[in-house]
Amino acid sequence: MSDAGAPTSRYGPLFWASFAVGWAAIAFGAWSAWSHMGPAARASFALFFVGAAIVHDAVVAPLSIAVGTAVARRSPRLARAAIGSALIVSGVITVAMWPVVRRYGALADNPSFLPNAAGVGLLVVVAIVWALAAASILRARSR
Amino acid sequence: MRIDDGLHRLRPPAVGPFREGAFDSPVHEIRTAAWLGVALGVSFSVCFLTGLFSHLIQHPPVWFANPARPVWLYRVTQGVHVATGIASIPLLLAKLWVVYPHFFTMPPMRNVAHVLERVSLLPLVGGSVFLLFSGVASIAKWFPWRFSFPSAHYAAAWITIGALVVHVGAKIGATRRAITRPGREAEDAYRAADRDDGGLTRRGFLWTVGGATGVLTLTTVGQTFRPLSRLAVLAPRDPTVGPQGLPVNKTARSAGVVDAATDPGYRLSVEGRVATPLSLSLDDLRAMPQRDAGLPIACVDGWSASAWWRGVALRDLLAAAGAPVGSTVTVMSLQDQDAPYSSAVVEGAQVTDPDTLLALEVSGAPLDIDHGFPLRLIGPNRPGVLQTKWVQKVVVG
Repeated sequence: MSDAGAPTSRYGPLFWASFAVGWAAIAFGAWSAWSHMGPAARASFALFFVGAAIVHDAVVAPLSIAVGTAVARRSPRLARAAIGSALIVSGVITVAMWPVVRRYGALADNPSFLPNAAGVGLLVVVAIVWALAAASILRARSR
Repeated sequence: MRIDDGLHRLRPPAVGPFREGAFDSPVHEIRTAAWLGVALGVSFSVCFLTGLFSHLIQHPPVWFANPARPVWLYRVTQGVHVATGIASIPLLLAKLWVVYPHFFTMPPMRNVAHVLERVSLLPLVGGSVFLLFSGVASIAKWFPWRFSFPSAHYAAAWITIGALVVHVGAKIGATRRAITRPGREAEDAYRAADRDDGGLTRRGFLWTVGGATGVLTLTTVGQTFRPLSRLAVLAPRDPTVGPQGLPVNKTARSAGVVDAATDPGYRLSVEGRVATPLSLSLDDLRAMPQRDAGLPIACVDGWSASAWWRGVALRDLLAAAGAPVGSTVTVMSLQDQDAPYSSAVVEGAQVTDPDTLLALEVSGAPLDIDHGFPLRLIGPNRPGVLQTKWVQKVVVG
């Protein structure tokens, strides 16, 4: 954490202009949500919106750090980067398409929706990712 | 300034993540953050504009008329919207991961502007994660919430893009400096900062993120980009799978129209501001001049599939009924008219376009009931939800 941590040293007119424009758009979005939703929908929207930030910052990020650190510590030096890459790619893909893989929305009367066995697809994709990682580790060892 | 002094003194104890050097991975660095920020700025702008276009088509204000040409416009914009959203998932997670240590930055509040900048991060982070999560959940038809997805996704898009504008205003200088920092010395310093423990370097990290984006795109984009349909193993749709080789969004059974649609006494009525109201049987419709049009079904969910449709051009039907030129038309389904998308408005160039059909056939055979038998609307450059199926009434207004 070097200069990355420091906020820009000076907040100029550009910041204040974008602040005004940006918060006008935020206010419009909030008004749009408020005026198109009933009380139950509003509460649910607020919960998912704020919850998204909290779940990421308080659960997903620390968990990723814990898993990443644990795996890195146990990985041999030569394999560490490749294992890290494979872990990130397979983890992100799994999380991203989880609702499709688990078929949460499957419709009994509509076989054209979710026609693929996405769970099998995910396993194949993850297997290919780890095979590539293994190949790159072997290549690094042979050098 | 006294407020600033007060803010400055707020300082949590230097333990855990607040410790100096608590985050020792080299990827927590401004240049990596800058490149990911630029990528996300582009991808979120693309999603916002394509999403806004889709919103305008579905809720047109008086100043907006959806063009009929090019016929593939909505197919491309909505395909890009969903594909870009999916591609943004690794970018967003990576960006949040790179800047995560800022969450514990010391002092937490430097001055009033710094406070405002940080407060604006809640709508940015919450909105970004919300948009991508709700987007993927909705294309998977999983709705674990109590709001209407389109209203919430639209509102969240404005909140997020607003917060993004604030963020860009605060960071554009630092981003430009980080990216354009010239010279070999800087490059060497950049490399030297990478740890020598065999872990991911910054470059390796960016390649990894790009790889995740590439894999996600390759395994999903085939739901709209047909040459890659065989790779689309993680997509909710395959554009070749469904009755008559076309995917279905809503089945006749789930719409509750099976009996009405298969009733041999079916008639289409054309009414409203017309000289001659019409009531037409299927045979009457088949006896009218038939037109063929190659048009895509382009779903808001980001999949699309092309087919050849055959039926009566809407403009021919309106001419037969003596409707005034330039009329706006409401096409109504056999569905309960309180059901969402049970009717659709056709206006402007789409009414007069020769390819706007009330189709009786697709791919050379009568429509499957799940594609809208006996009659469906199919027009150029329209979202699938506005291509009304099981049409029973055309109201000229």
